[in-house]
Amino acid sequence: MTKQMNLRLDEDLIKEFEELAEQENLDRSALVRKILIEGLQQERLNFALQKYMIKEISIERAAEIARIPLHDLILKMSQLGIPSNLTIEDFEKIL
Amino acid sequence: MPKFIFDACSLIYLTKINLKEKLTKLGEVIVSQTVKNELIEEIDQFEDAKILSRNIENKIIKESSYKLKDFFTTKNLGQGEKDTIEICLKDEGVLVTDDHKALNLALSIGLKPKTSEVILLDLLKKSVIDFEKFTKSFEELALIKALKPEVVKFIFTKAKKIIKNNRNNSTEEIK
Repeated sequence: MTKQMNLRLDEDLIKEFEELAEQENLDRSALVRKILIEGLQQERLNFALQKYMIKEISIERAAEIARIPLHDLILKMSQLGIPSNLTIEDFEKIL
Repeated sequence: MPKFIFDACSLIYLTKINLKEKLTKLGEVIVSQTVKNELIEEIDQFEDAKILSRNIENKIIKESSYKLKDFFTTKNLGQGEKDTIEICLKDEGVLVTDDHKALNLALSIGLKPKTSEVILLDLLKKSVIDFEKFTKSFEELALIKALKPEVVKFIFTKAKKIIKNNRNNSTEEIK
């Protein structure tokens, strides 16, 4: 089921959408939908990683928030060089 | 035989460094149902998930039979982590997690958790792996987890102490 959502955008931005839609052989709405879906996924991931990095949430919670498999999150974190949230103090407590 | 209740991230890391097969030398490898599902989620996309799935089929990794009561309500941990800690608390077992939040919750309720780094040290202590294998595996792990230099140094210092102790013990045995 779809619902209508109205957005007010700058003329320049609309022009950019139209140009890219033509180049990609898509209609303008389809391109906006595609970009919104990809942008939303990326935003969820960024939000989850930020929360993880400031130690507010765990790694598995971050995967839940980002709505991606844990395997994928671990891979992405490794590629981005995001360090494990374990600290030297954590290791001193358990060793 | 001790029971190790593993969180998904720890098992994924240990799979990536090809050391998971050695875990049964330390004890039973147990996971919750949620963790099992996390390990094999979107199996076709991830090689590690395929390996872990085979380990579950072959009972190298066993699913816990403990009936969960959703003991923890915190929204800062994932369901797998909460279930894993509950199993350790109620059904007894050593928690293995590689997450700061999960580790500190476990410590606050009196559990003695381990991480994949500590599991590596245990394998070294029990001579399941030698120092060369430890070094290679730990360097891989440190790279995957982007471990901070001070953590890497700390773990290596512990490993060297273990080697020294192991040598002293074997010398005493010869005497």
